[in-house]
Amino acid sequence: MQFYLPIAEMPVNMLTLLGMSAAVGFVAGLFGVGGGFLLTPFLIFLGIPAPVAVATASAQIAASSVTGALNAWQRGALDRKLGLLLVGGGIVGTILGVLFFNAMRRAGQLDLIVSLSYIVLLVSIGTMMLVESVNALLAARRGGSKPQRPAGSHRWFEALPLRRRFPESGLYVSILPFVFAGVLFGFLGAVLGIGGGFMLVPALIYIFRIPVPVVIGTSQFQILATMLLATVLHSASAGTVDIILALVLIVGGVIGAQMGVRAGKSIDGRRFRLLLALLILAVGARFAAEIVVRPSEPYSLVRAEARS
Amino acid sequence: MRRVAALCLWLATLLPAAAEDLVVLMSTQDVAITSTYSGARVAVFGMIERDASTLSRGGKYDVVITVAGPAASQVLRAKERTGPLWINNTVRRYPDVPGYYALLSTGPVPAIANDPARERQKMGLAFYLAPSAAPSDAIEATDAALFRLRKKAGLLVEDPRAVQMHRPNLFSSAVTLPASAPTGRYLVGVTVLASGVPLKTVNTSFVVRKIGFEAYVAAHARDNGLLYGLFAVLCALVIGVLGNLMFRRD
Repeated sequence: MQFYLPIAEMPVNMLTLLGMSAAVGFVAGLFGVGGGFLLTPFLIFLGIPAPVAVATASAQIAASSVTGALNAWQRGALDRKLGLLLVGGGIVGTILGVLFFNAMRRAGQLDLIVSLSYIVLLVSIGTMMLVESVNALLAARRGGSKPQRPAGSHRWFEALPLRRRFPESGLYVSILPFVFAGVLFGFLGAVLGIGGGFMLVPALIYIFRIPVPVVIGTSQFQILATMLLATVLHSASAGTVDIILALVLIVGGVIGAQMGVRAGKSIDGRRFRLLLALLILAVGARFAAEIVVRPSEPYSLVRAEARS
Repeated sequence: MRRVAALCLWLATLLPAAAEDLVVLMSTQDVAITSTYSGARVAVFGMIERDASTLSRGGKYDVVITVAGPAASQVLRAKERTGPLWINNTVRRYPDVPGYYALLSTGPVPAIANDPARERQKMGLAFYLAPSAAPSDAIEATDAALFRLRKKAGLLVEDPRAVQMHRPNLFSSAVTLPASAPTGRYLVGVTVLASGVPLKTVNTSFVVRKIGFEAYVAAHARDNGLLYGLFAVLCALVIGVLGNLMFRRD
């Protein structure tokens, strides 16, 4: 079933799109992540222009994180103070990210920037996950348990100025690292069309030592706020949000995520994490192939930007 | 009376030899982009009319149809090796190139149309490329790339067999538009020739435009980006919440 996308200005197969977004939603639900790091690359591989893919995926990510964020807010399963700091940094990062995004697009280097960033991101995350899951599988086979991380003492960045108390996390640390993290993930999110949960959650747990029960909620709160802002800013500055595409992605994503959550209760997570790691590496390799292998058609033709 | 008749006869001989008339009809003048749009075909029909005063011609008629879509500035980029990476560099700007161009004819255009005719009716996309000061190999390579990319995308059609003569004076053809053809007005020029000399040209046009919901969405995204973005976000939030409620129930 072909459907014409008014902003991407191309016909797409509705079933392909629904299936793809449901599959990404499934993976996202299974692992409790947003899935933007898979969704945006898949949209680009489908031939949707990178600016439209990134801007539209932000809307989908916002939709997929809203329920989680609301629930967390109601149940108090988030650190509000920390969340607001992250969002504050995230707003700055998102604005910078959209400005950078539009500048790169005008310079004709957007595709390269997006590809390079995804390569770095996907290959490093994929490799880390691969190593981790192989170790976990091996450890399970040997019957041993995974060695615990040694509990470190204070980190240097916790002692930076502007120390504040975070009662919900039971911490007394500087706010600067959180603001910085907010800016960084806001920037990456706006440029790459990702929520960043798959990086923010481990960062909060392992680097900032935030208690696990509030991590998911806090991260979803930050993702929701920055993705909402990113969608509006992309739309206001370049008109690249394809609402039809967004609706299809949201519906597919919601269905897939629910199935993923249910499936997650009954399957072996370690084995599946290995598959996810391989999938992430494959997507990274696909991006890499595009800019490292000699192109069969070096030329490309684009319409000069009407508005600058 | 006789004098008047003689005058008329004399005037008739003064009229250009090309007394053929040409009637052109298109299957539509309005190509609508709807939600199921995946490209379009516009059929072109033509009849060559002769009257008693028309010179009799030994040869047959040839027909050339040109279709030029809305012009836009185009940037040609080439990936060039920079270290281990292939990076886009702007190679050339083409101001005002039709976003779509078709050259449909009853035979190879250089064989059936003389140089002035080809130039006047711009029979060939090359006539739209700004002439470069000094033609060089590099320019030729970029022009070739432009033509190749356009052809591959279906945005440049050159078919010397696309116009069929059904009778000596009746012909038809079809303009094939890919889904990626730009919106706007498409100028259609139909020229009848004999022995390379143009006899009659009819210029007409059709429009490709988004209609209904598609047009509405595109216009708002362009003109009210902020409002559009806020609306998109609102939709996303509502559907996100509703969707989760719906699928959680069972």
